[in-house]
Order: sequence, then structure tokens, then C-alpha cells
Amino acid sequence: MKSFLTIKALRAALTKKEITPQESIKFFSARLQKYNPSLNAAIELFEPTELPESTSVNQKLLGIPGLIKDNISQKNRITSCGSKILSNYHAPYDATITKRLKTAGATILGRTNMDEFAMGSSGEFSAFGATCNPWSIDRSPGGSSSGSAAAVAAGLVPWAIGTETGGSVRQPASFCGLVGLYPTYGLFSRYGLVAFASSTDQAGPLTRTVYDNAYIASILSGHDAHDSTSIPKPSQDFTKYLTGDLPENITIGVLEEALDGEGIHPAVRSRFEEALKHLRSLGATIKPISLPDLKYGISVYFVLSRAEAASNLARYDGTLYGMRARDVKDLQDMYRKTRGEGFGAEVKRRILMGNYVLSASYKDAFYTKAMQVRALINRELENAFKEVDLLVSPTTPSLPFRLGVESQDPLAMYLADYFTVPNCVTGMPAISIPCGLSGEGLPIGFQFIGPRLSEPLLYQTAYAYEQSTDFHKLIPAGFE
Amino acid sequence: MVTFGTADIASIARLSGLDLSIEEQEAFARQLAEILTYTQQLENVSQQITAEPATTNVNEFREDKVVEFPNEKILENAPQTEDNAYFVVPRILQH
Repeated sequence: MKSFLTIKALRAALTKKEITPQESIKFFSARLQKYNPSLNAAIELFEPTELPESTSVNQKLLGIPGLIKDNISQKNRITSCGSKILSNYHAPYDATITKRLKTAGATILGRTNMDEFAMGSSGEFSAFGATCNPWSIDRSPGGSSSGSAAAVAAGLVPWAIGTETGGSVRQPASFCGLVGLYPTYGLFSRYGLVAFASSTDQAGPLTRTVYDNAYIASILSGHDAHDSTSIPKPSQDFTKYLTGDLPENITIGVLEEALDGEGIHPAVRSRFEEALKHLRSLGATIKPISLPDLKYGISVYFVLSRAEAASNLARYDGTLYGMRARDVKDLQDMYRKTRGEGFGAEVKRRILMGNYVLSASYKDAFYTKAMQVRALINRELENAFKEVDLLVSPTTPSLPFRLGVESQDPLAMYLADYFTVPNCVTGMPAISIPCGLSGEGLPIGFQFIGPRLSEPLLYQTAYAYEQSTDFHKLIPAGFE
Repeated sequence: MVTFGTADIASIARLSGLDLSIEEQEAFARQLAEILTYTQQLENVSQQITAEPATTNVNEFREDKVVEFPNEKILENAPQTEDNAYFVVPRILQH
């Protein structure tokens, strides 16, 4: 079997019985065993002990295995969120999206590494070691869905699920040359997703092609009664929008900040400008658009996500599950020592900030203000979508971080989310796709952002661009 | 500019139920000051607008029906239990 087969190619091969589901699952399992030690993409690999018996592929993912991020519940598996505090916690149930993947016949081959509780942009804040970028192992694959991205980029599995709160699917997609979707808030159920910032958390597929991404998104989508923020619509098939052509007369707005390039790495800027030129050649009208409130996106995200995180992570206190500190004097001591020992520095930083912005003297200045500015950003984006069909920008301003370097400066790392947070805080979807490599061969991505429920338009546009370029065919060396 | 002393950090840490070492307190004081100073740019926004929730869903109720969940399952991840009915914790009140 060849490595780096897409879901589409695997489906074809399985349907024509060129390979059996069992062969396929064993093939990917072996690749994971071989290459995971050097990448540390998966915290734990699962032996595929229950191989499907049939060879008929009436289930959409039979014989097409994948990986799930360590903060998404898999029944009876450790779900540690990359943290020491949950390193012994076994999920008693499947997340809804896990269940949907299994019902579609998927074999899940492991749980992927991540920044602790999804708080990070490089994978370096995992309690289980950093993950390496297959394109350059001294570099980060991005975060917090570091392992999911690295595994797919190295062709160890054809798909993996990540989660995103402010950029944690799209930025790794960009760093690893993959396709990553942040869906409309509520499109995919959050039941079983360990909560970080409940008002922006969403799962997102990571794949090497747009078709594969739409294929997985279709399986995940659909209302779930267990998630009260779940959009009340049935699941849909996004692959049927992939005509290969851009929608007629499409107008795409490019953010002025993206054009003037300040703070953007020159290689990112060059690839992005080439992508714009290419879109024009395909028939898109590209116009510059000024959205002055977007620059507050990072600050809004800082405040709201950390406030929600402080609340969501209050439950990890050693009482009901997870780690408990030893030699404690009393209950309060147990809480403080457990959390002090069990959480890493980044998580603690965010909890402290969250409680600060919610505390009595500061709540109006920070939290209430941030909620209002979020509404302003929302209005600005909704108005923009009256003038243009989609927005376009680089996904992230930088090239993949060097491991051990950029993570020393928290604020600089946070600014990596500049282009991804505005649509996260407004619950609007966006897709990141590759647009080439830097001079030294590092992947660069760009993204389309759309109004709520515009996944069909996003997928169609992304597909038309992808199919008229070869970037989705590039693979890192050393993973044959 | 926002400034933070270790005393400020210690007080928020108490609210957050977190034990921090002196080194952590000092590092966090510096880092949080920097981040919060950046975040103060929100003060430049003067427009008034009503905040909105992240979802348009309202009152998503389920049937008021009890769903059983066995005690073993509930207790299976607990650090310390008793009689298959209790989570055991250290002393709560001092005499």
C-alpha cells in the first residue's frame, strides 16, 4: 500500500477491493508504530484488536482509520487533555463526534498530543512532551492540535480530529501544509469535548485535501440533543459542493492588515499575495476591505477565553476524578496542591488571568467591555459579508516556530492567533488551506472566512483553488 | 500600564485555588502585567453596544426524566471512595 493516500483514494481502493479494510487498518497502525516515537504525535496508540470482519464498505469510514485529540472523550480510554491532572482519567462515555465516527465504521488508532487543556500554539505545553513538525523536526507543528496535525502531515493516518478555540486547528494546518476547518459555532456537537472556552470551542477535521475535510465534516455535522448550543439542523453532505469551479461572480475581501504586511513574515506575505493573484486568475474579484475593530480580536479573546477557562477548569480539584495531591492537611489544601502540581504554567497563567478579569473590581473594565467589543466585531463582520462573499487572509503571520524558542515569550505566541481569533469569537466558520512553502521548505497556509453556515461556499472555494494548484500533493521527506 | 506585585498574584491564586511557588509568582506577575497592558487597548473602544450570546438557541430543554447511571461508573475515576457510595475527601472543617 502507498503512504499518503487520501480518504478519497482509500475509498476507491476499498470499494474496488484492491485492498481490504483489515489491510488498510494494519498498514496505518504499522506506520504509527514506526514513526510516532520520533514525532510524539500520539500520546497513546491503540492496538486495532477489533478488526472489522466484512470487506464490504457500506460504512463511510470502514478501513479508513484516524486519530482523535486527547481532549475528546473516547469511552474507556484515558482522556488526559495533555495534562498531568487527568493523566489517569478514563472517559466513561464517547463524545458525540467520537460516536459518529465509530458509527461510520472508523477505527480510532490513538489519542493525539496537544497543548495542555488546548492552551497553546505550539504543542510545547503538553505534559507529555512536545510534538515535532514532520516538515522539520526542530520546528513546531503548531498548537494546540499539534499531534493531530503532525500525524496527518506525516501520512500516518489520513484524517485526525482537532479542536479550536482561537486558532488551534487552522494554525497547525497552516504549519503542517494541511486543510483545517473551524466550523460555524454549533455545527459539530461539543458533548464529550473537554471544555476550555465554551463559547468558542469547536472540533475541526485535519486532512491533506479539501475533499477529505468535507467528507469528515459531513460525518461530524448534525444536531445533537446533548449539546444545547448545537445548531438545530440535520447533518449534511458537504462534498456535493465541490464542483471544481469558483462560485460565479464571487467577491472576496482581503483584510487591509493582511495587505500592508506589518508583523507578517515575508515568505508568508509572498505566498499569500501569490494566492490572491491565483484566485483572480480563476475569476474571483478581490477587493481590499477595512475592518478596524478586528484588531481588538486578540484582546477580546484573551479576556473571554480566559474567563471561561477559569470557570471550566475549576472542576479539576482532586475530588471526583484525576490526580489528587498527597500529604494534604485539609480540603482546601487538597484543592490548591492538586491544582498547583497538576497544572502546567500556561494553564495556571490563564486561570489567574481569567479570575482577575472576572473579579469584582475589574469585571466591568475587562469582561463586560470584552463582551461588548465582541458584539462590535460581530457587527463589523456581518456588515462586511453584505459587501463580499468571503474574507481572505494569511492563517497565521509566522512560519512554524522553532521548538524551545518562541514559547519563551507568551505574548509573542499569543499574537500568532491574530488572524484566527476574530471569527472564533463570533462563531463564524473558516478554512485554512496550503498555499506553498517558504524558501527553506516550511508550509504556509491561508484562509477563507465566511458568514455563519457558509461551509458549502467555503468548501467550494477552497476546492477550486486547491484543484488548480499542486500544494496538496506536497509531502514531507523521511516518512516513506 | 498594568502592574502586578507578587501580593496581587498571591491573592488571585488564592481565589483560583492554586498553590504557586515564589518563582512562579514572580514570573506570572511580570507576564500578566504585560498581557493585561496589551489588553487595555479595549478601553479605546467607546461605542456602546449590547453584548450578545454566542448561540441563538434559547431554552433547550430535555424531558424531565431520570436517567440512571450506576455508582460504579460514577466512582470509577475517583481517587478515594467508600462503600461504592461516597467520594472520600480530607477533613473539611477544623475544630
